[in-house]
Order: sequence, then C-alpha cells, then structure tokens
Amino acid sequence: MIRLPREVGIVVHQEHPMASSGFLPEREVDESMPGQGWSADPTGKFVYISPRTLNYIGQPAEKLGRLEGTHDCGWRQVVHPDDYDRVEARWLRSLRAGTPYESEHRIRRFDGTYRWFRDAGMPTRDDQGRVVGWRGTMIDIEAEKQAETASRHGEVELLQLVNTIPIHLWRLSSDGEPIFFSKRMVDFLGTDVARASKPGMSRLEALIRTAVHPDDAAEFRGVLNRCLLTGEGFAMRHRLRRADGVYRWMSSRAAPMRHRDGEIAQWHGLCMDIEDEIRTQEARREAQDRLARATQAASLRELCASIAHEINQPLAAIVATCHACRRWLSADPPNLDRAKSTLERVIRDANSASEDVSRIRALFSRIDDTRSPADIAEVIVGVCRLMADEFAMKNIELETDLDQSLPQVLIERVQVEQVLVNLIRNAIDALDTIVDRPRLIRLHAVLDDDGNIRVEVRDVGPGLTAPERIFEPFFTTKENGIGMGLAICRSITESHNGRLWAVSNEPRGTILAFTLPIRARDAA
Amino acid sequence: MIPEDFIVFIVDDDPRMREALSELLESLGWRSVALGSAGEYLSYPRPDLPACLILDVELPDINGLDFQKQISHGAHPPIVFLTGHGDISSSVRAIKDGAVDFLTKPFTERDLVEAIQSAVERDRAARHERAEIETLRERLASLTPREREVLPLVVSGLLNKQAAAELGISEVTLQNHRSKIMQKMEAASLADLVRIAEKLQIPITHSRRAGGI
Repeated sequence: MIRLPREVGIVVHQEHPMASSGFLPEREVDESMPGQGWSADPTGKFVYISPRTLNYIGQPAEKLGRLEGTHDCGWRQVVHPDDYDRVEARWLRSLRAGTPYESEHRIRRFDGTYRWFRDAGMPTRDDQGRVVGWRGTMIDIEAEKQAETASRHGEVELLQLVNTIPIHLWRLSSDGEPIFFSKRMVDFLGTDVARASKPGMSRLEALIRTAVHPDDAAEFRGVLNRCLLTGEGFAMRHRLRRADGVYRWMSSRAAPMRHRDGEIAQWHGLCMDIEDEIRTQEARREAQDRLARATQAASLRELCASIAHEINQPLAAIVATCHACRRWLSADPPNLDRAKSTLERVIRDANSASEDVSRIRALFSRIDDTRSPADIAEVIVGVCRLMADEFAMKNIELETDLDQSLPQVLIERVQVEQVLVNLIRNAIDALDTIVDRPRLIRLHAVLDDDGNIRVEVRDVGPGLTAPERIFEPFFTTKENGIGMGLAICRSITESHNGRLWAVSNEPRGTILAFTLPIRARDAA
Repeated sequence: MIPEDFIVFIVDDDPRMREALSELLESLGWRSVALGSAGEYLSYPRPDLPACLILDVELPDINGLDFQKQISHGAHPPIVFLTGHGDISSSVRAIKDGAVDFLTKPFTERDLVEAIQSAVERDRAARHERAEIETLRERLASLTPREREVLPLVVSGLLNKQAAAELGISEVTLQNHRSKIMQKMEAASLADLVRIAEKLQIPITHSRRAGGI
C-alpha cells in the first residue's frame, strides 16, 4: 500500500524498514541534480519518483508502483511496448542479483510522444552488505539517440553506396597493407582482405602475386611502391584476376588520405573494370592496323607486279632469242650470221630492260610533286592525338616543346607522320621495361642554326648500344619487329633532303632526331 | 616429227617478244606470222594449213582468255597461252576452255616446242575430221531425193522388206536404191554406211521392230 502526496510527486513507502535503517531522504538530493532521480525498496517498489518524472509522464505516482504479488512493475503503461519486456527482465535480474541496473528505453510523455531515456540504478547496502534499497537516475537521451540513428543511417547509406557503385574500392594502410576491400572487390577477387594474406610475405605482396596479371605485376609493384614512398597519387591500368581465373583490365587509382600534420594516414583506392573499353579499343586499333597494312601491301603488291612485268617482258624475249641463237650455232653447218644478229638483239633487249629500270627509278623520284607546305608542330600534335591511347595504355608521360613560330615546310605529310609514329613507337617500346621512374617521352621541334627544322624524340629508356646500327635494314632488338622501321624512316627523311640520326640522351635514354630543310633544295 | 607443212601465229603486243619468238621458230625451221593484237590476227588471211596460235594473255585490245572464248566457235587453231605472271585460276580456265598449254614467261625452248607440236597435231586431227565430213556431205548431196529417204531406213537397221513397206515400194526397187546409195557414199559395207550416217548426223528414224507390226 502506497501513500502518495501528489502535490510533491513523492512516493513514500513509510512502513518499509528502510526508513529507519538510515536510508537518506531523496528529495533534496534529487532536485539538486541533473537527470531525474528515483529510489526503490529491495523488492523493487518505488520509494521515490522525481516530480520532474511525474510531470513528464503526467500520471500520479500511485499508478507506477509495482503491483502486489506480480512482477509487473506498474510502469508498463509508460514504457514503450517494444522496450518493456527487455527493461523488465533487466530490472528483475538486477533485483535478484543485487547488481547495478542500466537500460535505455523510450518513455511516454503526457502528450503520448515517446522519448529515449537512459535509466541506471545501484543497490544501497547496509554494514552486512545486505541490499537495503535502490537509487537511480533517468536522463533524457533523445537528442543523442536521434544523432546516433542519423549517423547509423548515414553509415548504411554510405555502405550501400560503396557496395553498389560499379567500382571496386579498397584501402591500404600508410605502409601499403590492404585493410579493406569493398563488397564488390571481395566478390570479384573471391577473397576477403583478411584472407588475402600468405605466409612469408606482406599482404600487399600476396595480393599482387595472386591477383595482378604476371605481366603487369612488376610494374604494378614498382609504381605502387614509388607512390607509397613519395605520396604521389597512384594510377595504372593492369589486369586483375577474377575469382574464376579470368583476368580483366582495370583502371586503378589511389590517393593518400593525410593527417593534419601531413603524414599519410591511409590510402584510398579504386579499381574500375575497363575490360570492355579496352577490347573495343584493341579491336578498333587492330582494324586500323590491318587496314593500313592491307593498303600498303596492296599498293606494294600492285607496284611490284607492274615492275615485275616491265622487267620480265624483255627478259623473256632475251631468253627466247638466246634459244634461237643456240639453234643457229648448233645447226649443221652453224649459221653464224643469224647467230650474230640474234646476239645483237639480246644486247639490245638487255639494254632496253636496263632502261626500263631507270624509267621506274625516275618515276619514283618525281614523288615530291605531291608535297605540300605544312606546319610541323601541327603535324606532331596530330600524331600525338592519334597515339593518345597508346600513351595511356603504356603509362607514358608526354612532354612537348614545340616552337609555334616555326616556318612551314614542304613535306609529304603522310610520310613524315609515318616517321614520327615510328620514332615515338620506338621510344614507347624503349620505355617498356622502365618501372622505377616516370616513362617520359619529350618531343621537341626547333629551328636549328643551319635553317633546318629539327625534331627530336627523347626517351629515358635503357639507351642504345649501337646507335648507327639501328638504321640498318632488318636490324631489330624487338621480338616481333622485322627491323625495317628505322631504315624506312631514314630513307623518307633523306628523300626530304633531311637527316635522321640517334644519340644518347643524358643522363639516360635515347634521342632520335631528324631534320627537314625549310627550303627544298633544287633537285640534283 | 611433223610430216606436213604448218604455220604458227604469234600474237603479242611486245615487239621484242614477237621478234624473239619469230627468230626462235625460224631457227627451228618453222613458219610463223607475228601479229601485235587480236584484231590483226582476225584480219590476217590464214592459209589452209595446220596451225597453232601463240597468244599473249595481256593483249592491248582484249584479254587473251576472253579472245579464246570469242573465237571458240570458229575453226581456229589450238591456242598456247603466254603470260607474264601465271596465276593458277586463269591457267585452269584457259585449259578448260581448250587451250593446249599455258606458259609463263620466260619459258624454255623445250616447253614451247612441245606445246606447239601438240597444238599442231591437234589441229591436224581436227582439220582431217573437218575434211572428211566435208567429203561425206558432198557425197550425201549427190543422192536423189528418194535415195535420201531410203538411207535413214537402211541405217536404222530395217530389213529390205520392212523398208519397202514403209515407203510403199517393191522390195526390188528398194534393193536398187540401196546399192546406188552404197556406191555414191563409197561405203564398203552396211556397217561402214552406218558409221558415215553417224558422222553426218543422220537421225535414226525407225527401229527394226516398229515396221514389223
């Protein structure tokens, strides 16, 4: 039975022995503290409830008491139904065991809205350690809860974003150890970041060995290590092994996230699947190459056929005449006069064949009829644009230093383009093995002291061991090359009255340079 | 060797080639005429001799293979093709259309000689065949209208009695017509007459049994 002086909102169970065992009156303490106090007797009956609580719930204290003979705490009516069972269980457990009680739950306000509270209670014990009562506080944590919900919501959204955008995200520690893979990345690799480890090597190394294509691994390792050391952003295209063993081209990028003091905290990276793009590009380039080769081959074949015909015709006549000559000589008696006259014809036809050859040569020397004035800087820029994909594929950094005031020069544009493409491809190939420094190609176009335009293609590759030999036909250091590229380039520049040569670049690499005279010299 | 006289026509637009071929054929003791185009060849009066046509594939006025097609219906000599660059498909086409050989320049004397010889042989046989048929046609023309009616019946294998009934004449009269036909056609036997009729493409109009019923 409870008597409740409503005006002060205090529940006092006066019959309880606690009152005489030194249990302090709460009212003064409570009202001078933040939060809302309460106390209860050892059985869990409220002894005191803060007037602020009563005001909040808008109910008289007698309605909140624990009902006799039940476990019902009486405050079932004000605690959110979803929270009640949990709160009750916790409270009863604390009561039984005498252990501190703590709970977060929603409590209904007088107007029917719920707010979150944190409720905590401690047992008070007498000298013998017996629990003589409970004291507790409720604190309104609604604002805190809302902030928490909002942040959890934000987190879920972020995670959804990370897991649904069609790229793979990853995180490396400042020393390069993988510490996070997004779900897509995990699905792609078929392994979690935790399981990426292998005994005897760093997790990064294990990942490179298992997931990066063997042909790309050295470069990947080199570039990434350089980035980790210097803090430069990482960017590379490479093949990555999917869980089913298929390699797909990825465009990977990573940037460091830094502490305030500038020290790198982590690396955040992404891998974007560009397999389809690469396939399309490759198909397009192959088609172009094939077309170019076919065009060249076709015109070459036609040219050869017509030259062969020109030469073959007199040769056939000579052979037939020689047969006749032999007949005259082997006749009985030998017909020397006829033999002599047939020989005259052989001489005549052989000379005429030789004249045909000269005629063909003359035909080719008239080729500069199709030359037209061109701006060499513009030609170079055009070629670079054509080769942009190749630069990107091979991670080439391109620097151009083109004198824009260069005079126009009379060239066979397609041929000079061919020379440029050849020299640049050569430079790209020279940089193929370079992983410890940027793969830099510099293009210069200047006017030299002799009034020639000089174009230079500089690479930082391993350099040449035999600078002059590279121009010999069929000289090649490449597995797939036939070694005609530079020989053809040289003949093209020479047909433009220019020169093509190679020197060593400082401190390393090669410079291939060619000149084009501004004024075409009179044909000799 | 070749028992009769014959002539080789050379059609090539390259004068050096024409000269060389003429010289070579002359050194072999053969007669030849060298011409610069298909048109010149067509307008050249050809002598009545076995012959061979040496034809360059790349002629100025027409492709040699097309020219071969064009003259295939007339009594033209067999063709030996010459070409600067032999490709298989055109040589196959030429041979299928009846060419004797397809020689790639420069060719050896032996290949040329063999090709010319076999072409001339082929032409000689064809000419012989043509001449024989011409003679037979003349003999056929000497038959009377009645004899021309009797001939198909006889070579069809009808008995005299059946043939006579077919024409509504007596067996004796038919017998007379028959011996006259044998005489005029210079046939030694009935079998010989049947062969001649076949060459002249005289249709067999009756079977022996048909007339019997």
